[in-house]
Amino acid sequence: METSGWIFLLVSCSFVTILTVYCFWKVLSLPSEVDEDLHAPLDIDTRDLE
Amino acid sequence: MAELKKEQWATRIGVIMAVAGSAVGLGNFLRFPGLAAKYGGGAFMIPYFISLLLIGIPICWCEWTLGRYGGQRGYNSAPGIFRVLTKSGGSIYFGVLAVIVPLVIYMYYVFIESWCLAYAWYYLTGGMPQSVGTDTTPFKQFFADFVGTGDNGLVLGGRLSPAVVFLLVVFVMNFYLIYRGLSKGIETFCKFAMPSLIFFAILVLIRVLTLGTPNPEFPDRNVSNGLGFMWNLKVPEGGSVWTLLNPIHNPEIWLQAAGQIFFSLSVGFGIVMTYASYLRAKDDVVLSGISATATNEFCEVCLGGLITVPAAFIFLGGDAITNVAGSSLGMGFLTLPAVFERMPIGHFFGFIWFFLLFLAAITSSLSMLQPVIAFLEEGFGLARRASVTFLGLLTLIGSFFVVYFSKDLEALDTMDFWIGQVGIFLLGTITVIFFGWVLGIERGFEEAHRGAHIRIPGFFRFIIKYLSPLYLISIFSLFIYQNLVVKATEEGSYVWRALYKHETQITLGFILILIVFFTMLVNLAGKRWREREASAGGGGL
Repeated sequence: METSGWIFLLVSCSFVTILTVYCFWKVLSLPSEVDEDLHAPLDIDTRDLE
Repeated sequence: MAELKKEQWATRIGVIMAVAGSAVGLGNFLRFPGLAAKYGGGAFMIPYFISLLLIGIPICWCEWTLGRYGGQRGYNSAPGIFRVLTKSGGSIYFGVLAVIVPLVIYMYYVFIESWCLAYAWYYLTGGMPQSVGTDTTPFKQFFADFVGTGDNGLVLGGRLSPAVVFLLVVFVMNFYLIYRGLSKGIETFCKFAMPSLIFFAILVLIRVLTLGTPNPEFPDRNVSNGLGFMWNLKVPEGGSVWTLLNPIHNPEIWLQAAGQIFFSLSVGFGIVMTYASYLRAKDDVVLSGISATATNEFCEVCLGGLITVPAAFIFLGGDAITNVAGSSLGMGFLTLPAVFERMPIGHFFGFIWFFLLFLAAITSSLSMLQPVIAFLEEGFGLARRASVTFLGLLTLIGSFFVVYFSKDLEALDTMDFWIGQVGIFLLGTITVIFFGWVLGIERGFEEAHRGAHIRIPGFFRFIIKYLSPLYLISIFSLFIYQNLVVKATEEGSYVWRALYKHETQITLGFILILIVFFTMLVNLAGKRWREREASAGGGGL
């Protein structure tokens, strides 16, 4: 394994791992969907989207 | 507007696991490492990450946003979503592609999926062949006998062959989960399958990284050199990194990197659009989209990139990898069994490996059925039982077509090229143009940010509107030029086979019949939607 190989390996794997950990940390630290629903408008289809 | 919205995802993490499950497939563990080793080693990661930035992430966000947009207006299938998006009845015909692509890919993908389950079973029960040295011939023969690559119809000839039994088992599993529905079937299964898959992959990774130098006769075949074979910078003799990455001198590396991103992330399949259509109005799409993408990349780069090539190098040497680089089937079913044969407690790890590939494949194949189910349900008002039965019969015919034309896997390869590559490039381009130019980039971003837990960086406006379509069209043009123009007259090329090979012509005829059939269905669905809107007093689009 050459130095260039280590650099590519470490940079690529670190980037992808940090991105994945960040995303899941954000997702898992959000309030639960039940809590969000309590504060959201009632889910009634008013047919006024068009 | 369609009649009613029937299904929704139960949890935020469930939809992310389902989309990630759709993206993580055989290509992550088998195709990516071989390509990287062949095209520049670590330098392959430069065009790879540029492609991720220019097409992978942007199209992913486009599909998530367009899907939720359509879902809120009562449509879960691409024909319906494109219809509400463009306010034009004619645009539903672009949606034909989004139904055909996952449908046809499912027909051959489920066959490959059944091989993974079969190999896992054979490792568990001691049914795999044995070989000595670096000889992979017994595994080639085993694969040829199992799949019937020697002649057409070999595995359908008069007896119930193991290949057919495993195909039927996998088929039933897929349709059972689809029949249970979005939340109880797909979501529940993916929430279990994805963490299991990653756990099994980490087990195999630990085994590979602790192999040391297993064969004293070849002291250079060790873990460090195995990783080096995959990650070291490989520049052409007398050249530099620039020579390697110059798209004019070496377009192949860009083509392969963009293709890998495209196929790996399942963008351009129409699947993400359908999945996202089951979200609620205020559900996040930005964080969910990037989370699913990141999970796929983690499986591909950190797991696939550290397992397959080093393991094959340690036991078989570099030539064995170069010979099958870029071929998922060659790497998976011909080379790796020879690796597990030589690995300490290799049968256990062979079972773990092929079972994780099976999990990766089934979470992908499940996702391919949902766009067609959604179209049948909303286009014709079919109940789930009817739509599942219809789709089951159709895909069974298609899969047995692939099984019958098994000589050199001709039907499988033809479908994979014309639908699994050309088709998804076209659909991906249509999706990003619809987002950036039809919905409009500002409105698209406004739509994407509704309920979003993170914001899309502003420079993605420019990327999605200009760079992604340009990059996609350039890569696609290059792909078509290389495969259909430069190699057109070469014996064995896709054009040559379409002109002179009987099995290829029959397969292309089969695809054409499906396209005509689904164009007619989409036309009928469009009429039905217009009539319903007229009767509701809303007027047609």
